[in-house]
Amino acid sequence: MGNSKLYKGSLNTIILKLLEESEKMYGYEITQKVKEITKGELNITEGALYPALHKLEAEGLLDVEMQKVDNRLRKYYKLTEKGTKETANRLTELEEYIRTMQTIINPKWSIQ
Amino acid sequence: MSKLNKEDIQFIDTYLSNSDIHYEDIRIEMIDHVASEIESRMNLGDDRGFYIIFKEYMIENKSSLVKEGNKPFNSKIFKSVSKQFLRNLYSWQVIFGSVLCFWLFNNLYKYFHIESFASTFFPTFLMVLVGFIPIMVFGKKKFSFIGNFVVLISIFFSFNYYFIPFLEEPSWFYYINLSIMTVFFVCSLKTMISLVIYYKKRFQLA
Repeated sequence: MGNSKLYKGSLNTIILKLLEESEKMYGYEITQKVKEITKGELNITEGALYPALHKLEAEGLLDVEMQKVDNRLRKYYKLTEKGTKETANRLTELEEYIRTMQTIINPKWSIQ
Repeated sequence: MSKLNKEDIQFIDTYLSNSDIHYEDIRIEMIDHVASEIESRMNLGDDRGFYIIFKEYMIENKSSLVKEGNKPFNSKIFKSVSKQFLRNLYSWQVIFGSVLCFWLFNNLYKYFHIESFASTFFPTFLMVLVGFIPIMVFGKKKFSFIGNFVVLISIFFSFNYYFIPFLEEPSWFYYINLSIMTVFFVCSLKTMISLVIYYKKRFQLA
């Protein structure tokens, strides 16, 4: 995607949505999953992903689990109970936002 | 499937450590990210060897990678540990411990006299006592939540120094100050212990 600022505000919701679909995920896996789903259109950088994950962890929305994998430790993230509830709220908010944007960008389409 | 060996992982670890990524929890995550990307490139047919691929990756991504990792203070984490501290204020351990410590500290203050050098030494001693717990458990390893909590403790105890010249025993101000310091100390102790347990359980380091 050319303008990364457009998705910056939705990054936390994207992460929560992916974790809702998987039991647990690690940072690199999240970047690859997003790349795969969007066919390379969306590339989440390390500089954006990890601060977002740490913020969600600090807010108590994510819990972490460490596992030893291939000579190194891997930090897995999973949703907490609070995180599961918050995911539903944030997805609703994002959907409403997308609908609002559509009414602005393409009013005829949104009326139909 | 290409997998990096222990020496390769150690090399990434040392490189990131030398790039001022001192928090263990953050560095562990970055090591895995870099290693996963290098392995992915190798598995896609890049056979130039670990060091060349690593160098190329770092040229492309170093600034983005260390952007967050080398910050000793993170406002979100600071806010989170501060909230945890406030929640702990209402726990029975803190209430009971504070009453017990107040009695103990009050007797110590009376014994040493508030004007003496011991009174200025006291806040520092309590701060060091709380800050020493993670060092005893994890040694030189630092963790982001603990690091940010130490900032909170340092602010409080440094602030407390300003009141020391005004403490005259016995006075209301003296008892209020001693109560606040006692509650803060006991609550800091509880919060620090819970943070150490949090990391100990998850990272299985000690």
